Amino acid sequence: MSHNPLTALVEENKRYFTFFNVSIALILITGAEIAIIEMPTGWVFNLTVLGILSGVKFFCVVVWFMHLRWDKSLCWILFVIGLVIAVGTFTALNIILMGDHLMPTQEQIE
Amino acid sequence: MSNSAEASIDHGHHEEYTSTGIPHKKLCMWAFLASDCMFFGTLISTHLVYRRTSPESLDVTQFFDIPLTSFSTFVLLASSLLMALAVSSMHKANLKMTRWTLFGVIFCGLIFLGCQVYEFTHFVRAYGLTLNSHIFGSTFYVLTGTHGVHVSLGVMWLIAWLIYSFTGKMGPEHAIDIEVAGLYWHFVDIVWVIIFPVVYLVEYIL
Repeated sequence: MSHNPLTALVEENKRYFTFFNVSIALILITGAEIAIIEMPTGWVFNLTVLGILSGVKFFCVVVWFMHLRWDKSLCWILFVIGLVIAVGTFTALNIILMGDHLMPTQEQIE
Repeated sequence: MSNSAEASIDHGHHEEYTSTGIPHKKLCMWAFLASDCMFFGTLISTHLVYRRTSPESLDVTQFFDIPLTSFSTFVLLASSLLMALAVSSMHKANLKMTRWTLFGVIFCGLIFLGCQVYEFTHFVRAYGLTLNSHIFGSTFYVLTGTHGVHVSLGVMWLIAWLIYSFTGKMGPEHAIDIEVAGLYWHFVDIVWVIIFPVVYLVEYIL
């Protein structure tokens, strides 16, 4: 943020309206997410769209509401490190533990 | 512009900065959020892995209430907007607006928690789903419960600031404190942004 009081106030006022626009976008995306589960377009398409919409919502909040758009890049770096490790853990666990060899056999189910 | 507004906007003079140019409190919060990201990453992964590999099949769409969960999601999104406005108002030294928006955030947080308590109670009473009854119950309650604890802590934190704002001691130097509380609150929101589709909506697709 600028240290010039006047410039900072003008910036803050601009953000005020941005927050409303972002909020409307988030509500619309959430509505689309709920609607997608009723779509007869196949699970691959629905899952992909759901993933993309959630990702967009996630980054809208991080970028605008959490001020990362206007903050120093170190904040970005810190957060992305955590995010990369989280996504890496998620991916690794899914690859390792969700193979068909780990699925229960019919005998085990019975 | 009023003097108080100028004083608030020029808040850099009141904050302690690290050598990176970022205030201490904000840098600490970002580091904490990064670690919390990993924490929720493992909880979500655990839920999904067990959901697929659990030998006992369970059709959870029978007892999920999507309208209720969607309502909770909208409430949490509204609270995020109010939190952003609270931070903005604090930077403009508008204490009255800050109070109202903080009150709104707390109110939305309590509604969210109420919905969660209702959901948990309903699952236990109507379907007998407890922490021990099914692997889904274990991972579901731990994941959404941990998120609920985060929301509760956020609500308590904001209630403390709301009370403090009436003591007459709250000044422009506290803008950074509200901003840090806001970061935490928005993080709680983005965690729910992931939990809602991954835990609830995916069940209707796969």
